[in-house]
Amino acid sequence: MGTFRLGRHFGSTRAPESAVERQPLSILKPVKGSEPGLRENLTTFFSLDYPSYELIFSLAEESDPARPIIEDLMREFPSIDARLILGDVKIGPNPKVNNLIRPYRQAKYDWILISDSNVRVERDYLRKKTAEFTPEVGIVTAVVVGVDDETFGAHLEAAFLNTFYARWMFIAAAFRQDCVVGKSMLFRKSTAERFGGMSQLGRFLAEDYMAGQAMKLLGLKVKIAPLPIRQPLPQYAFQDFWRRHLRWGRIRKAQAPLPVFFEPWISLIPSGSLGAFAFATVAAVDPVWFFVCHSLIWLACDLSVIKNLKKTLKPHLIFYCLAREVLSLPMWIHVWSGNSVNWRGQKMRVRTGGLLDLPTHG
Amino acid sequence: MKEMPWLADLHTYSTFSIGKLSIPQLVDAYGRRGFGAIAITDLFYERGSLSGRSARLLNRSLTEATFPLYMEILRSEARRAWYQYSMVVIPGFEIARGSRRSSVHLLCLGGREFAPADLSKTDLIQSASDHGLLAVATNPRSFKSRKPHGPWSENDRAPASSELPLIASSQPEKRAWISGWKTVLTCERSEHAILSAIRERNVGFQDTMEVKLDLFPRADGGHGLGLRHRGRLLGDLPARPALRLDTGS
Repeated sequence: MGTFRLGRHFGSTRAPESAVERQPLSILKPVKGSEPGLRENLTTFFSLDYPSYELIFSLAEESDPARPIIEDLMREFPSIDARLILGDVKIGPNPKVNNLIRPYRQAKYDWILISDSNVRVERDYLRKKTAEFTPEVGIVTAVVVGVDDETFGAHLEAAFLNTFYARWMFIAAAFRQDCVVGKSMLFRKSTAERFGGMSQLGRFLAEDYMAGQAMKLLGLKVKIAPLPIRQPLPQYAFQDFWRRHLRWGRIRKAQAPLPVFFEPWISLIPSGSLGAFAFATVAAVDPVWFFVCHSLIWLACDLSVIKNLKKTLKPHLIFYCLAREVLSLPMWIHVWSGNSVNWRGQKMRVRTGGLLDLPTHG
Repeated sequence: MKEMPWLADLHTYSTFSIGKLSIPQLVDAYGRRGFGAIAITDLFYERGSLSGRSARLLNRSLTEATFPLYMEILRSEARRAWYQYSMVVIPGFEIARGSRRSSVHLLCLGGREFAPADLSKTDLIQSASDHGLLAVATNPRSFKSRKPHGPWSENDRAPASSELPLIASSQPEKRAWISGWKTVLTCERSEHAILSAIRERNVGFQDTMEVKLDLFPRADGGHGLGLRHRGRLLGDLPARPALRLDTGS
C-alpha cells in the first residue's frame, strides 16, 4: 500500500492549485554546529526560484562554528533578505524549539517554513510546496531522502530513510495518522497561534509530530509536498546510525505506541515467516518457496520506492535493504527496552505522549 | 432584565477524546444553529485502570501532554465563537474513572487547569472545588423518561454527591448529537452567569427533537433566533429549577 501510494504521489504531475502560491514567506533555519556539507545545504536556500521570501538563521550560541559560514553566505547573496539571530529562549527541554522561538516571533510574514540545516532543496521547491496549500490544509511536510551515503552506517541510514520511513509516511497517511517531518514544515503562523504557537511545542521531543497533531485537532489536514528533500548523510558509523534510529523509535513509541507495537509484523522476516507458516498449514504451500517469493516481492517494492525518490538504483542497495530488515527486529526490541534518548550529547527521558523530562547528564 | 431563553449544550466531546468533530467544527456546528453557549468537555481518563490505559493508548482521552494544547485551542476558539456567533464557549473536561464495578464520570465546567483523574471520588470533588470548577453530574441516562439518575453510575451511587447540580447531556459523540436534550437558560450570555445559573439550579431542559430553532421578530424590528415548540414560540419560557437528583437512598 505504501509503495503504491508513494509511487502515485511522486509520479503524478499536478498543476498548482493554491491561491497561497507566491505569498511571501519566512524560512526559519535553526542551526547547530558546522556539519559536513552545511555550506552547500544552505546555499540551496539562497537560490530559490520564489518571488519573495526571507531567510532567518538562528544559533543558540554566539560561538557556534556555523556562524562564519552563515555570515559568509549572507555577504555572498546580498540580494536575499537574510539575517542571523543569536541566542535561544529557554521555554522547554526541546533545544530545537528553544532555538526557533526568536526567529518565529520575529518572522515578517504569516507563512512560515521551518527547515533544518542538514537538507538541500531544488530551485522550484517553494513553488511546489506552497502549491499544496489549500484552505483546509494546516501544514505541508516532505519526504526526506538520504543521499551521498558513503560509509556502512550511512548506507544503512539511507536504506531506512528511503524505504521504511518514506513508505510509512504514506501508510500512516492512509490511516489518517499523518506524520510530519520537522526538516520541512510549511504552515501559517496565524493558524499555529490558535494552538499556542511554537512555545506549545517546546515540551515535546517530537515537535514536528505534535505540530501535525495540533493542526489535525484544529480540523486541518497534513499534506506531503510533491518533491522530496535531500539530506546528505555524514560519515555515519554503525553506532551513530543505531543511536539515531533508537531515538526515533522511542519517540514514535511515546507518541503512538500502538502502531509501533505492530511494526515487526509488517517487516520482511516476521511477516514472511508468519505467511509461510499460514500458507503451509492452510494450503500446503512450500514455506521456503513462499518465503523466497515474499522476499523478492518485498525487495521489488523497496527498490520501487527508492527509484521513485532518488530516480537511480544501485546494486548494493539490495544488500542494505536486506540488512535493514535483519536489523529491524533487534532495533524494535531495543526501542521497547527503555524510554531514554540521547540527543546531541544530552540524555533525556521521553514520557508517554512525547513529553520530555529535563535533560539529565550521565 | 431576563433574556429570551436560549439553548446551551454543556456536555460535548471533540476529537481530543471521543468526539467526531474538532473544536472549531463544534463551534461552527452549534454557532450556526443559534446556540447561546457550549461547554467542550473532553474525557480525561485515569491512568490506573485498563479502560483508562486503553483510552489513552487509542487517543480517546485527554492526557497531561495534550491538556495545555486543548486549553489553548479552547481559548482561541472561545474568542472566535463570541465574535462570530455571540456564543459562549466554556472550557471543561470530564474526569472518567471506570471499571465494571465502580465508575465515576465527573464533569468539570470552567476548568482551565489540569486535574488528575487518579483521585478517589471524594478527593475528585474536593479537587474540582479547589480549582474553582463546577462539578456536574453526567450521563443521566433516562432523562427522557424524567427519571434522572444520580451523578454516579447505577452501580455506585454516592449520597454525598446528591448536592451536585444537573445539566442535560446529549451524547454528542454520536451522529445525532444535535437533536438530544439541551439545557435552556435565560441568564446573561457569559461564563460566570451560566455557571451561576447551573449552581443555583436555575436552568430548564428541552428535548430538541420536539423543538425547532426559528427566527422570531424582535422589539427592535430585527429578527432573533428562538425556540419554537410544536409551533409555539417559547419566548417567555420561565426558567425551571433543575431536576432533583435521585440519591438512591
